[in-house]
Amino acid sequence: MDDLPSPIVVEILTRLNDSTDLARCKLVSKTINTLSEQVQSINLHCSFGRYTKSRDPQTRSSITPFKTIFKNLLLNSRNVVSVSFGVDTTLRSVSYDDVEDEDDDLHMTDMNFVMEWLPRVCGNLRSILISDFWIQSCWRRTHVLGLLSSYCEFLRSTHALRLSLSLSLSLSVQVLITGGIKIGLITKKYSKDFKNGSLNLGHSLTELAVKSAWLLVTIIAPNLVKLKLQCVKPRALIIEAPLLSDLHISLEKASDFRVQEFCNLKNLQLESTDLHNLLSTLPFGRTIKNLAVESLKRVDSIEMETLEVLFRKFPDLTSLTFGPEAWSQLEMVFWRQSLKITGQSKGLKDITAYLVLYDVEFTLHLILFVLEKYVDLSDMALLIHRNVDSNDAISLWSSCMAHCSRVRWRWGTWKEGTRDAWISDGI
Amino acid sequence: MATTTTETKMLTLCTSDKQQFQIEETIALQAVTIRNMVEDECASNVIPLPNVNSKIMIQIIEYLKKHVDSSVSKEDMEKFDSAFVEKKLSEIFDIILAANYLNIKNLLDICCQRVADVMKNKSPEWVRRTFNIVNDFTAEEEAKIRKEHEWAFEGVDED
Repeated sequence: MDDLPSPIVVEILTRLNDSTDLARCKLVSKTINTLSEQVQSINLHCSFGRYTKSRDPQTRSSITPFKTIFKNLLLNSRNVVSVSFGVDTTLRSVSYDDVEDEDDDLHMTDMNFVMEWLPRVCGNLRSILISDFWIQSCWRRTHVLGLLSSYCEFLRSTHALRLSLSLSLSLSVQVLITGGIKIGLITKKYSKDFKNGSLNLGHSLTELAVKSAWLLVTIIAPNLVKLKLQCVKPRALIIEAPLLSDLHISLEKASDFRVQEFCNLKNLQLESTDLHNLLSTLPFGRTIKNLAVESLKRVDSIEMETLEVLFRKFPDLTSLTFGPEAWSQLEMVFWRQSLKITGQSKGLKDITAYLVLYDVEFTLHLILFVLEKYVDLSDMALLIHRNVDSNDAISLWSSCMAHCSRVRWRWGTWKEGTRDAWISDGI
Repeated sequence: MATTTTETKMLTLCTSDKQQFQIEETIALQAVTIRNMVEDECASNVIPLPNVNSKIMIQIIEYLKKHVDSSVSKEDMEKFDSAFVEKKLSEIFDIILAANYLNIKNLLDICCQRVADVMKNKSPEWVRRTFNIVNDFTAEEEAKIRKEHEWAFEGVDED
């Protein structure tokens, strides 16, 4: 090994991929000790064994606190570009019911701790991966995401690089940061496993809700089934969640929207100020059965071609829901441009529309158009806003039912902040 | 009956021990050093490789032949790679030096990874013995570094 050129020795030491192994190698020889300082990554993970020893009164004093080790490593490394630290997989599966632990040596997202190391290395950092310890972090609040984003230029300025926080963090804390760099992350859904008392973090996370005003949103969750994502205008939105079946996404627009193939995505709820463009550029859609769309803007987020786009992008669609703003805009487009039926669409079985009923005529025309266009339609559910005059509502009901007996009509009322109320179910 | 023959361009490589290897150009060009020589037309009919001996060259050609074959699945290629690096460490070091000289990145990567994997969870003494590294620390220096990194010595494999 003494014969190998220095860059290759550094390459080998880098590939140890573990700062503990690297620390031991420092003792091998002076050359290796010197070269080890050129390794640009820190990978330190606390094992179950180390954790147990740190809690046992007999061995406790012989164990160096994890945070001390980490800080010393950073102190002794030059030009660190990547840090990955936290608890290893054996500790991620420890359940809250198994231990009582009020320590904070493994509370990795503790703000004071982060402030001790982050400012020192943030200039060169290109990757951060933190696996927090659920037992110590779940009941503590942290603003670590905001801190990271304010210190690490790379998180703000580039697309390709990635911040990964172990999902235990997102599971365990409520982070909502306002002012300055806005980023929030809220989640409170736990998996069934948690109720049974054996939480396997990361793996058991099946539902996640994220609210973020960040420019770069990356979600990597191998077992995620449900995701609710609210963003504003992320420059890049990256989702890697192959098992995802329900996605609720709300955003103005994303200049770069990348997803790993969603093979199981069945339900999609989409809210946007730029609905038409978002629908046109959405990088997925073939597997979706149930789609709900809503416009977050009062005017012009829907165009004449929006209905065509829907059926091109979502060929397997069986159920479609229009939010009140989306439907109203569709009515306006329909009225202004007098849409012609350019072809019949098959497959769609039911439509639900939330109506504001600005004009009964407008609404009726669009409903009849839809019935003609979607030949397989068998259920039509119309929810009318509670403030609408009942005479208008009755007029619409009777006209619809007189025009088309082919479909099963369902009627109800809706109001913001309340549950929908069904008046008649299946006429 | 007419037959068509496609002429395969061959290159001759000459190792440090003056052995000559005739291999297809497409196989040889995976080595960036050879590619540059061919592109710059510095290479005559025979390409001299004074830093590689024939014993190592045989193994490198075996590697290159496999990797030029696009019909091999990713999974099979990984299997081949992991079997390929199951060699004595001294041999791995020779391949590393050759791969570094010939500039074959994948081969260099898998060999460096193999060395790193061997070192994982081992004591410094074991690493010194296995890799023939002379301990040039004084007793005091060694004790100092050991003390600073005491935490790293829990759970190390028995030698």
